[in-house]
Amino acid sequence: MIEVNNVTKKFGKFAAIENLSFKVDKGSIYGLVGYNGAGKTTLLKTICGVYKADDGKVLIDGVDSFDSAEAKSRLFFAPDDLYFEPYSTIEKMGKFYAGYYPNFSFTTLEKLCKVFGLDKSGKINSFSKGMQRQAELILAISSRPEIILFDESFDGLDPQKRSLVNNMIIEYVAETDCSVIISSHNLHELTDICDHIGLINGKKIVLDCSVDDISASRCKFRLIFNEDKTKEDFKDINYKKFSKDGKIITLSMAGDPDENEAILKELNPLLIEKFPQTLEEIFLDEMEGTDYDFKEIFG
Amino acid sequence: MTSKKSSVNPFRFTFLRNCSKNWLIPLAVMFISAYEFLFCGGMNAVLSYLDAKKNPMDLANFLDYRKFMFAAEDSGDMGTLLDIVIVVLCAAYAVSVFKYLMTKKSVNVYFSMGISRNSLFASKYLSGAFMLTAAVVIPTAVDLVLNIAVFGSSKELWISAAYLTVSFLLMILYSYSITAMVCCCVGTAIEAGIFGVILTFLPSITESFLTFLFKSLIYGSPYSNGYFYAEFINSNAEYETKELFAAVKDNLLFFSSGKLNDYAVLSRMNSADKYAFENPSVLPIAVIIAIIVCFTVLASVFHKRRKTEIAGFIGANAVLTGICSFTVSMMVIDFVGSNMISVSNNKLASFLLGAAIIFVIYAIAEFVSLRSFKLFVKNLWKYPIQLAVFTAAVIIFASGLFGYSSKIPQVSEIKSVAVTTGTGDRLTLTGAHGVNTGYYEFFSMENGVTADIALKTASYGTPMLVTDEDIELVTEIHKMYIDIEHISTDFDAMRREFGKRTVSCPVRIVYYLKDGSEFERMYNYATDEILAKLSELTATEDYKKCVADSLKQFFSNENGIVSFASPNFTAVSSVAEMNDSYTRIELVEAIKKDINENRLPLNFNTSSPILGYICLVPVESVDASCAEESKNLNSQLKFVSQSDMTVTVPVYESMSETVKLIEEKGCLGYFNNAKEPVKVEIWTFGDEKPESYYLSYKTTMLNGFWYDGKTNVNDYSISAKPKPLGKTSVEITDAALAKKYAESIRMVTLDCFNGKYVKLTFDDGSCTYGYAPENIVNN
Repeated sequence: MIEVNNVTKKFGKFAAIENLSFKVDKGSIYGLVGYNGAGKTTLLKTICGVYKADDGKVLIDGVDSFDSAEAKSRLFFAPDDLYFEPYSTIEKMGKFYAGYYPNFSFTTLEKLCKVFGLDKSGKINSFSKGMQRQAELILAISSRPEIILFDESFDGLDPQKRSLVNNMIIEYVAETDCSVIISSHNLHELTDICDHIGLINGKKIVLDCSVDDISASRCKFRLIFNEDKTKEDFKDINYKKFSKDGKIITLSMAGDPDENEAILKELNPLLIEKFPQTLEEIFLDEMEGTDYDFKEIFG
Repeated sequence: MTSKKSSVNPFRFTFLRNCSKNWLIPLAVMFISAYEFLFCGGMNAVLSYLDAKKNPMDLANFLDYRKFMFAAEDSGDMGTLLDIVIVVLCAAYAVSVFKYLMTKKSVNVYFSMGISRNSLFASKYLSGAFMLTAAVVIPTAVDLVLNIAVFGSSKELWISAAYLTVSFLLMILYSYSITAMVCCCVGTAIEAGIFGVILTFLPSITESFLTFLFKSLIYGSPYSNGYFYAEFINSNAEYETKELFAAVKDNLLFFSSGKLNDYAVLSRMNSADKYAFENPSVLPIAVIIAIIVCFTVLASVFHKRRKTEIAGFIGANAVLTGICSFTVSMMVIDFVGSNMISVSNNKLASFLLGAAIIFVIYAIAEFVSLRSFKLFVKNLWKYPIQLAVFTAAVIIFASGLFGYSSKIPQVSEIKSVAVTTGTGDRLTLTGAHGVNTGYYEFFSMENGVTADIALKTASYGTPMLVTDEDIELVTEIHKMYIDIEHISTDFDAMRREFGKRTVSCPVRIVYYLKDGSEFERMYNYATDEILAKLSELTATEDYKKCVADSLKQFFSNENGIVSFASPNFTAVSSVAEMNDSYTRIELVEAIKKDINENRLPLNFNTSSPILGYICLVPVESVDASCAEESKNLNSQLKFVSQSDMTVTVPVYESMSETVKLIEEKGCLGYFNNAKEPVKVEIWTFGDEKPESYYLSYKTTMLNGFWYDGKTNVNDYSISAKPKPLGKTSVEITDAALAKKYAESIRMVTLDCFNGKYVKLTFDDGSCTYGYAPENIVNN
């Protein structure tokens, strides 16, 4: 289990993440979503001990992960910036990782290379970016760690390979009870594979729940009223997002959808419709106010 | 999926992997080590052995005169250059070993894997150290084996092998460790390499810079203020200079290989001699090891605490950037100040130039690391820090280094004192006066040279002035020097009329204190007043004893032929009557008595008429053809005078004991001149620039005479060549005055007395140069 407790990481005076906490259970695939520069990579690097937290701790099964050889021998970090030794092959890189990962499996490596159609003796430098990503993923799984951190690792993969990777990760997690954190700014990548989602924004985790719960706990209502309503009329309603198009008002709300529907019905709408929210909509709702308002800029 | 469980040892894996991946630079180091040790040592020994083996006598000699040849005895500049190349290679190797710290990609991998930061550092560092050690030990081990094969095993060989190997290894590990430490502090490989090399050279640069400050700003500083001296009168003069940190700098951290050369070859001059071998001191090695360990520990700490986010960012360590840019500034200031400008004459301008140099280098370093003019301006506050350090150093040195310049030990603290005025080639550099010598060829009371001024001889032992009276005399001279601190010396100062001159003249004073310490000062010029005071030292008992003892040593040497020369050197003859060993002892005893009674021409200003010169010419210097014509010594003298020791004692009428003996032996007639000059020219010193009027004879006073007087210039291969008298020379037409000058000439003189150069020309075209003290002419 990974526990991130009140972690702060600063670069000079700038705090990339601040007082950030969350947990990832065993057997869980945790999706870490956030805008570019939100602190996802910083968070992952702090978890795996590349960065030392300025405050707070990252515990892996109760052990501070920073500079703990034992804890980190069970953890594999697949960074966004791929690292391969000069003129190396997948096989040679496998031998490199085998020196540090006690469970490294060359059998797995060989099988995965076949599955992905990669030549394990081919020079990695000559691979395309997507192939290099696949090589990295193969090496990560072949190391058979108990924790894997993927940082934007699916970038550059074609849909077929992405599906293959998803299946591989799901299968691996199911078999080994491994904890996985996948960071991405692309929600679509994560909805298919993650059972938990954490939204990182403004240096903090602003949303942290399971994918099932998040769908159940977030709902979008479309309302039509007889009279003209303004935002002021909904001041007592705890909504996440308000929009109005003529007489049609759309509200995004957190909490029990049925309870929220009952509350809204008390306002006597002519029509009330309830829609489940996609993760993308939830993500955008949460990021409301942090994005640039390009209309305002160019208007 | 299946898993293959295995146990891993990340430390061992990292160690071995680095060894297998990073071998190119250690290989290069090994090749250079092999050249320095193996090819110049063991291989040389084997080749010499094989060559000697062709002749049993040669082989016996070869083995009897050597115990080992472990490395090149004196690798000289080439050795230093190779050492520098090795040091730079080792810095590059450290960067190569720790390059994983320099890019984000590799940092992500290495710092996220199952190895602690300390283990990662230790495994990387040790693997690199292991490879470099192997690169040194392999060739030296082969060298050792070859030496054992040729000379057999000996304790000395093993000690020497261990000492040389360890010393060389420490130089390598020093560079490697300091660069490893730098790698842990900076973000880019280029910075790591450059800073590593700069810090590796930091001891040498600092020492050189401080020496420069001493030399430029400290009046009386002995550091880098060299002087020439010769152990024997006619041997080549050695340039000796006191070095800062001399006690600790004879090691490869300062690229000084003197101690190492001592242990490179063990040989002896003849089989009766004992081998001169001393066990090397372990202390310097221990100190260097401690320094290396400190750097390594620091590197480990920096590695553990490293902020990995600096990887790839240049200028991430502002402190190190500042230290290195200031170090480079020191080096440049040292170079410019030592080679391009005269600091002592333009202190303020030199300081401003130094400040400008610091700013330029600071600006370059800051621009490279910041790459932004805005940031450069924002960080400009760092420059005053560097300027303040430089200014503080300059102020401290310029103000006399806390009284260093003006301090004279109390007489009660002094056990003995030595005064050296230097000899040799300096004469040609600074414009000496006199036929063959200058005022600074006074004597050395320390290096065993009583020198040209008194006798053409070498002395033995190390005479010191030990009586309170003599020590006080030296402290008086020292005080006179302190009083003239700000006096300027230039050609104008040298051309002033006698008594007001300030002339170039290296004078070194060393006090040996009762507490065992030494107190040394060195001055480069002297006033006529100081020169006169210095000449008083020749009347001290210690000096006279030294001269007498030296003379005895020489005249006891059976190899010498006693010869007499007339005052104007037109007659030079071997004197068989005085050449037997008994008479020679008698002669030297007579001279000793005269010395002790102050009758020896230690005082060259004596008005006592000169009778002639007694010369002791080494037999081995006389070539076979000349030896057959022993009566014709004139031709021999020109031969010997340039190469070997020739003892020449001026004989004055006042030397009653010596004159009496010569008279008893019936040899006084040998002093008669064969010819009288047909032309006498005189010339006053100072009429022209010194270069134009000195006579470039180096040491032996006979050179000048025999060169020009008896031989054809074209046939005589001597580098020293008398220059014509200056343009202002005049011919003496008054016969009485001409005779007076001709009779007054001395071959050797102190320049602390006024006088004239004199050129005597004879009817056959030959000539004699001499020097006529003014008081003698006037008398």
